[in-house]
Amino acid sequence: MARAFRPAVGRMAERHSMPVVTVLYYALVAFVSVILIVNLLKSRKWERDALYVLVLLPFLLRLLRLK
Amino acid sequence: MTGRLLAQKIVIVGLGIALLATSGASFYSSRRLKEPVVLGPGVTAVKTLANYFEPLRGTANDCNIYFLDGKEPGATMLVLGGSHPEEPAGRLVTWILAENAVVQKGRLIVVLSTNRSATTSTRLGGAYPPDFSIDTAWGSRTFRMGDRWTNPLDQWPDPEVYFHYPSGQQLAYVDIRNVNRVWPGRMNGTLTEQTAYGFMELIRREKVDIEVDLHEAELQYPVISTIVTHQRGQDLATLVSMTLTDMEGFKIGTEFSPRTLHGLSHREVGDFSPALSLLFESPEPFLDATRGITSREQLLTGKDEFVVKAGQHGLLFERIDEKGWPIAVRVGRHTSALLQVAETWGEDHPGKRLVITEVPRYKDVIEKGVGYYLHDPAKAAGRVVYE
Repeated sequence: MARAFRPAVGRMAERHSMPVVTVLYYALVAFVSVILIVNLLKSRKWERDALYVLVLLPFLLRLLRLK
Repeated sequence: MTGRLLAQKIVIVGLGIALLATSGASFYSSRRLKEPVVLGPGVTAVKTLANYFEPLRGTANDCNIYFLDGKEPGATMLVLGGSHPEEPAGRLVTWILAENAVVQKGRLIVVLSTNRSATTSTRLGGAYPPDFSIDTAWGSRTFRMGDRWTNPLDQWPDPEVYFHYPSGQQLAYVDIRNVNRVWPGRMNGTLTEQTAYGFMELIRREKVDIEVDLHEAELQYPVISTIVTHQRGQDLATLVSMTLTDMEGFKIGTEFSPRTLHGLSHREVGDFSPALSLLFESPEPFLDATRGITSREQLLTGKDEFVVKAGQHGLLFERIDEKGWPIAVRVGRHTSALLQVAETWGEDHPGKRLVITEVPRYKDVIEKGVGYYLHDPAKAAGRVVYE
């Protein structure tokens, strides 16, 4: 005998819109990206420049919604 | 900023932009790779999941649903491929069904991309190939590699701990994006939960009698080469596994779905609908943690010396040798098991049979190859849809 299934209530249906928490996470990614770019501009050593660029890549890929 | 410092930054940032552009282009194109499906003679209608749950319309998981109505009434079987897209045998079986199967009695409902979003990304840090191809007599077909979980571009972030609905069972955080951990779904939940909810609606509205979820497993996982069944399907699954082992030359076992392990299709579909729920597992060395190179060749041949070595140390739950586990063997196991489920069901329900023809069995797939059953989209004008 199949059990009765009662849908949950109380959480907003997301549909096509982005949930608030996702928007906040994208904002965090943008914030960290800006910090990395500022540090990249301030840095005077090429090793640090390379490190900042490498760390920045996954943040930009997510911001651009590529990965 | 000195001239030398500026030049240094321009070079490094230029290299970074080149990396971003090349990797970004690869991710973009593999996410949008079109997978053609040549509608076979048995396909009578194609709907989408949003027909059963409107909020999914336009989302990544508004997948195609293929209906193959029989000439005579009978049982309805739902076959789910692509719950875990990085287990390609399951998806390829559903392609073979959509392009070849003819139903004489009853009805077949086939899904090629159960978690369509998960077909559009690969595992982070897993070095997966973005796609793989199956050779045919007329060329080749390329499929998205996919992953186990919904693409984070479609559902993000994950919680610290995932609480399954409605049981409240705690699961790994990432499994909130695993469609085979969120059954029976939630109407107002995440995209993955809504996807499972949409399928539950389909199962209830279309009065599905048998639901089959096609999977593959690493050889280090104990639930392998088997049919996992809800308790209401135990007789059917046991008879099927005995018949296949006796008649078709490959061993397949039966596992009973634990009553307190929630979120999986073999448990929740059986609990929350009248359908019998079964899940098939075939061996896929590509998924093993001890694998060597994670390549397209390894995916399709199942050959891996490191997994063989693990077997020599007694670390596996399935045998493996230098012949590996070719994709044709894995697909053939699933097609034979599906056909045997239909036959065995019919013996128990003579007034409500499911008779499927034009689908190859285990030996046919091994002899002719998977590509033999994939048809040329260029010669099927008006009969091609895309996944």
